[in-house]
Amino acid sequence: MSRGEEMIEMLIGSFISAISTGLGAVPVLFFKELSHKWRFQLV
Amino acid sequence: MEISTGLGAVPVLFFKELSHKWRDILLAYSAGIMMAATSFGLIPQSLSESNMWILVTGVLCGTVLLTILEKVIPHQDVEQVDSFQPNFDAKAKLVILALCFHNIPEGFSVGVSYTSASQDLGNLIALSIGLQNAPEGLIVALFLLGTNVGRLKAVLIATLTGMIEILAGVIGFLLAHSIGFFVGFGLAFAAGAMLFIVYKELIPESHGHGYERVATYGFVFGILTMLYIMNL
Repeated sequence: MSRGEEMIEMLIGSFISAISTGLGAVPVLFFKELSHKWRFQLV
Repeated sequence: MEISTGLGAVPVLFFKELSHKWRDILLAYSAGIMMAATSFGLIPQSLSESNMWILVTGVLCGTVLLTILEKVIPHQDVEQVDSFQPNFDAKAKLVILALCFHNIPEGFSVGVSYTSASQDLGNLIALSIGLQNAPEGLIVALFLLGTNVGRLKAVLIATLTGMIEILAGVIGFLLAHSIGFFVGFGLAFAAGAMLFIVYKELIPESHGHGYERVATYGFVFGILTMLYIMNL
């Protein structure tokens, strides 16, 4: 594998790994309401 | 690599009521994944690409840097700050900044891993870091919602705290390619950083809510999952 190909694979891997942070946050879009109960259950 | 995103994000999408129990299991599972990736991926590969001294130096540097980062910018801020405040104040911004800093060693680890002679190591480390990023992102977003930030904005900010990892990954990748001995050292550094995250952050966060036993099973299944993936 050339360095360029390695770099591209690294960028894709890093991106997917990094975007997981945002994807993990997606469920908050579907919460009907953020109650104190939720907050103290999770954080 | 798509597995990383899938495994990392899908579980939380399906939990209509993500209880503390599941949060503990997920954190412990991520700890198991990272533990196996470190023990059976990073450390043996670092040894094969360098020597024992470089391995020891790298692991200690990774652990010490994380210790310093934690002392300067405490990672527990999200849990300690009373997030139900009306404004997205300076303290909240500081918490976000702290999370960005904490993601730098993680991104660096991913970048260095892709320079290893072992072709799969980069993907394995990206997978394990990605998995523990998902619950972290959810916690950050919940914290932001409590500071009156809109839902979409909360998700975007959580995403941005993760995106710093790409920049750190590029730096790690270029450094490892520029300096010959750096690959072995970098892999060991990543191992030290990951061991710190596992033992100092993930395991303690998965304890103390009464679900230690089931979280332990999560940890063991995390190790087995990574072993299975490594032997595919």
